[in-house]
Amino acid sequence: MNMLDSKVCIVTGAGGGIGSSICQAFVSEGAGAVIAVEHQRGTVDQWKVGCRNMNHIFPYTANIENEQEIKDLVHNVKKKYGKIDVLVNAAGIEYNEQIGMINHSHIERMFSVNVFGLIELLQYTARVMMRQKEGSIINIASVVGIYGNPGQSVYSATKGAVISLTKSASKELAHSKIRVNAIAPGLTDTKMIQNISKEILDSRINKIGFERMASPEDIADAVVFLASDKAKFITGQILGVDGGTIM
Amino acid sequence: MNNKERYDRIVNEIFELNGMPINESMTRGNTEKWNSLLHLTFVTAIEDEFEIMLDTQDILNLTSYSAGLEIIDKYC
Repeated sequence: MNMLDSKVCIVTGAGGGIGSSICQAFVSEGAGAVIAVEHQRGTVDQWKVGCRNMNHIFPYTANIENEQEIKDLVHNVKKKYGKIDVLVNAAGIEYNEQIGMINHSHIERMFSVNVFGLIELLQYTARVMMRQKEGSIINIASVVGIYGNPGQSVYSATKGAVISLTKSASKELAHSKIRVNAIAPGLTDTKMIQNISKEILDSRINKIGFERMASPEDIADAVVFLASDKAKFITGQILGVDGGTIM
Repeated sequence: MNNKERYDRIVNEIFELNGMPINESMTRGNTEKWNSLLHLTFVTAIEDEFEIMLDTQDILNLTSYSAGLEIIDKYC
């Protein structure tokens, strides 16, 4: 028996490193359907080829910043599968800028994707889960949302908001037996770090007890656990997956 | 059964009118039973009956019997 047998899961940010690893881990654990939400058509197809159980992964293009598209996504999944067991909010964008040089449009975009879009998807999905009287919502936050980090004031603020939202939503939805948790990854080896200089990257790796970055698979493994019934009594928690990072 | 008849059946059931005539001027303000919990049950019943998903704004605007009819007309 697998950890996610026959579960219907929505994963946003599926075109990215963490999101794609989560989708692959879910189907490996027997998920019945993984709706892999991508911002740009074709990004899921790029990694889906050759993936085990790929016929259980269904790419879905939607703009997380658009409420109508979010509603259509939830409604379409509900109509097709009759339920939504798991929602993973992994879509996110990051601009690293020093105070005094923070671009206002980047502030708006980061909050729009990382926070506002997440809230809308959470509340539409929760309405389906409330009828089922069960469900698991997992938000991808970040260690910088807990500890802060130079050059990431706005990004960390968005992730701090995700953490607070997770805690409040878990309390509000507990009576419907909907679990809401967050993963707080440390530095993770994805495309998002490509623009960080080697010097800064090395200094950040030096702060990790395990002396390496997390792999997207490390993050996905923790998400699988929270999505599964093994975590059936866990809600409102922020699980750090950071290899012992000291910030 | 037309949309109004289907809607009336939901209203009758959710507000436990036991077949009594519906007061079509009923609102959240003048209907004691219409609390926030019942509101979501009402929304769910409408969505299931008409196979629709209401916008969040529609849920907020569903403040009276007549508003409910207008919202259903928008979707169906």
